Amino acid sequence: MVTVIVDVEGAVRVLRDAKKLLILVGSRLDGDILSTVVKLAEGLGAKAGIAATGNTAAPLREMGIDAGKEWTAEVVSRMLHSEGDKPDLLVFVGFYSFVLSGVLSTLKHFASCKTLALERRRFENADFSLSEMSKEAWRDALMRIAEGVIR
Amino acid sequence: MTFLLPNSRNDLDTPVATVGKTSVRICDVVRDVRGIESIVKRAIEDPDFGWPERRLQQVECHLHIFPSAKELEDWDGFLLGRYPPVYSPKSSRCNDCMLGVCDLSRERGACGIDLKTKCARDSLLDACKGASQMISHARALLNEALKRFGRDKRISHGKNVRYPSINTMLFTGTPIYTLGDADDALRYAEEQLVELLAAASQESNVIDLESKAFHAGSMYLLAGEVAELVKEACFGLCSAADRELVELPNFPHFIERGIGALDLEKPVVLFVGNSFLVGIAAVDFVRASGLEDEVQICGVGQMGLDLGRYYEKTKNLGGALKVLRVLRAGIPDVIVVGEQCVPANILEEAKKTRTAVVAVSQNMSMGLKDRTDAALSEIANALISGEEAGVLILNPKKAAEVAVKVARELSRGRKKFELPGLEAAEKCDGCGACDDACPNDLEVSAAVLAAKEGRANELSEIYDDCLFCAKCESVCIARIPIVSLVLKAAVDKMRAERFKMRPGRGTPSHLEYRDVAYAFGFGTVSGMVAIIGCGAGNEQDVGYMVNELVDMNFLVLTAGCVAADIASFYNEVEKKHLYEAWAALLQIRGFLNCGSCSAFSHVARAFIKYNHLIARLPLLGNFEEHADYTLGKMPMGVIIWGPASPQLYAAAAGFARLGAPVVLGPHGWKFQRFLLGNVEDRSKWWAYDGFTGRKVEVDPAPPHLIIPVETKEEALTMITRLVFRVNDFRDGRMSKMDSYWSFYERFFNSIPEDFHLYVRADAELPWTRKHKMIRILGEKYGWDVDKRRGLIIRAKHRDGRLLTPEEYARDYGIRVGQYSTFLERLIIREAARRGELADADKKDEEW
Repeated sequence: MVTVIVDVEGAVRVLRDAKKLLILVGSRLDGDILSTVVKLAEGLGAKAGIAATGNTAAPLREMGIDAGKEWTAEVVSRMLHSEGDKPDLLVFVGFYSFVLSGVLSTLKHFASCKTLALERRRFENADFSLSEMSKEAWRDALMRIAEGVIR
Repeated sequence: MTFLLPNSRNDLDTPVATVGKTSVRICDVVRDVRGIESIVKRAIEDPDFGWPERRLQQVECHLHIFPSAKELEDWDGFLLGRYPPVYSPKSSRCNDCMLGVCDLSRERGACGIDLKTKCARDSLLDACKGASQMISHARALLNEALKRFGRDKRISHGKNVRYPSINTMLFTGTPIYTLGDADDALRYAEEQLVELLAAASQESNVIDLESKAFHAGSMYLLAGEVAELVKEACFGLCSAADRELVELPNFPHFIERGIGALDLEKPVVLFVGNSFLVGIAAVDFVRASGLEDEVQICGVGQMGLDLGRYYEKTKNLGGALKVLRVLRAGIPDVIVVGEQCVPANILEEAKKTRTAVVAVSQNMSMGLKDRTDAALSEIANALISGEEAGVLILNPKKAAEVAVKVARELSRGRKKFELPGLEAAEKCDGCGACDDACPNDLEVSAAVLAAKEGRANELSEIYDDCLFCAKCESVCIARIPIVSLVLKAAVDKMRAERFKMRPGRGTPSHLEYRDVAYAFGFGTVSGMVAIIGCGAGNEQDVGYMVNELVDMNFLVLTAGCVAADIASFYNEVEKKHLYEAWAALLQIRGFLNCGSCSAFSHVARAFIKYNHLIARLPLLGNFEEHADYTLGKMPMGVIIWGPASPQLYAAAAGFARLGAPVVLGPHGWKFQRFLLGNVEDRSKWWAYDGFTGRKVEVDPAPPHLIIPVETKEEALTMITRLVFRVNDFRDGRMSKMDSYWSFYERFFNSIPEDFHLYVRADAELPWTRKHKMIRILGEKYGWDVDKRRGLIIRAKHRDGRLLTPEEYARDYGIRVGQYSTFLERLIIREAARRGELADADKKDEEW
């Protein structure tokens, strides 16, 4: 399976096509990008949930978002083992690359869901990934994706 | 098991072991008794470490003496069934055999292997690599000790150690009292390692492979114990074992950590990797020559700790990982390079600053000429003149003398901190290759670009988190010496680094155990946590975690390179750095450093010792029962912080098999194998009522065995969750719940979603949160509660039933104080093991 490198429009299409998706918010996200991710989730409506990994549960709650605290490893484990209704797309944003590389490798090889990496660099083990870009370009891309899913 | 009358005529020809009036045929308690008859007999009869008569009568005694991994499959199988491995494959391609490269992502390989099995083989190989490094280390020390002192040399464990060589006893059935005993134990580990490596390319079952990876972990801890015993008993490393309790809070001596502790005008000899014997010899030489005030003996990593235990004037220059920081700054005049934890390009790096290299291990000879047989002056002259950049010397004493002599010469007129100016950043075009290469995800290019504009602050901030691997430099097209720039920007910080630390003191002593045993056993101490590892990017992280856990009344230990990192953390309340802020005790409000990575074994023995102290579990050849007890009862856990090395992989496997769950820091995601429980799957969470044999649904405790996290706050919270045990006493459950809730609320501004799974009775809820918890149980989880009085009227079982507290205690979890086990043979009565008492009604009649 080859990773599909997506641009803003491509990412929007992937997000729109998903039936049920979970956005995993990684520990590296700071304030304004966190707001953008919240906006993205809101734009996707009821089909999207937010999983606050790392320490992001607290800032999200301060923003009025009641995102459940999640442990990334447990989310991965659920995708492998849970019998319940699982998301068909996991979206990752704000992760350390050495964390996300491992997570994506597990999901790619042993889980049935698709993955989308909305990070500043390309992730080979994701089904869909943004490509390398500067922090500013990334910030802008996320904003445009958040706006794109609403239109 | 057959019990015999001691004088039964029919069995006169069958060797028996006898305790009190109870005898057991020794051939019945081991798989193959041939050649180990006397060991088995002693393992049962030994008055200190053997079997109490009552215990011998109660459970099915089965010993594992010199076991292979397969012999411990009952326990390993249970663990791996409950915590199945989750893999992050390095690659889906397999290139391990001569049939060629196979892509395992969709189909099996030419040899029939699938991707999971390939991952499990990699897991076993990683564990073997780690075990081999520790075994090799122990063997080198032991061989030298055997040459010097002979096999009969007695090993003193110290007057305050009642249980010697615990890691070893569990597997060999024999305490180590002489160097010969140590040799026998290490030979066993070596044989096992060979077997495990052979299996790594043949075994085809994931669980069998992971069981073997566990076994490699156990051998790692065993070898670490041998290494520590030899270091302490034969080479003079300080140990708490002979100290009185009143001495321990200030034991051992402080040493200084940091470049700021050095006089840069004086010669510096830096020991890197495992160069232990040479280090000891160098200190002896410096002392004998009256050079203590002139020559500065320094160590990074293991040597910074071990030498510190031997010589109070040792300067610890941090973790092994960051040796480049010291080298690039030109601090050492000579580096003595052993094996393990040494960058492969250390010789090239040393040449850059004209630092002489003395290699002392044939496993890390770096292509250098073997000068072991040359005259000392000849070797020294070659190094001083620069004719040779480095030499290999396999004679510790000669290597030590060469290193000191050369350092004295080279230090004259040698400048330190000769680093390039910020103008070297001018070539940066901001391509970002360094960002992509950085294993710690640092934003390097932005800092270099800032330097290009004359601002050094960003580079100075990079210094705090940098691993000093120099990958950024190796990918830089403009050939910018980024690491040197970082150091240049942070010169003032480096010069200011001067902290006190305790270099390690070996085992916790018996006196400390006795002092805290009841608090620990009954739960007023939340748990015992060891923080170990190879050193972090940001040194403050580990210190922060230690501080938080001590504050939360955990017993906290450390070992390995992180022990040096901890020194730099400043406790704002106590107004002291950590080693000065807390007493060096295994007590509440104490924190102790056991030593270098071989001292991970002291952590394991601290865990096991409590089992023996509290439950009087037999120690000899009885690994499974100890692991069963630790997982079911004892609140112990390990945090591994910093980059993932093979040694830590093996250590994690060893601790996990022992029943002590492991939290891996963010770099632990590179371990590529985790052991995660599935809390949702109720079928996985059971234990045997130890009296009736009834299989009971229990709380998912601990929920995971090896789990990676992303932040230090997650690590702290997770470890408080992983110390829950199905057999917690009331106070223990209360204090753990309080710790878990406290961290969760503080770090994540929310309440633990799974807390209701660990509520067994309202009396166990922390007083300060009780009413809130009761309210949430009622409103969110559907329990029938009396909010006003803070009572649980009916608890909601996971199957949906609302049960009275009595019914709930019967159908969920182990009754407080009741013996429980995960192994059928450890159910206390034979009738119960046969299932005859498993019915609840019968149980009530019986008890």
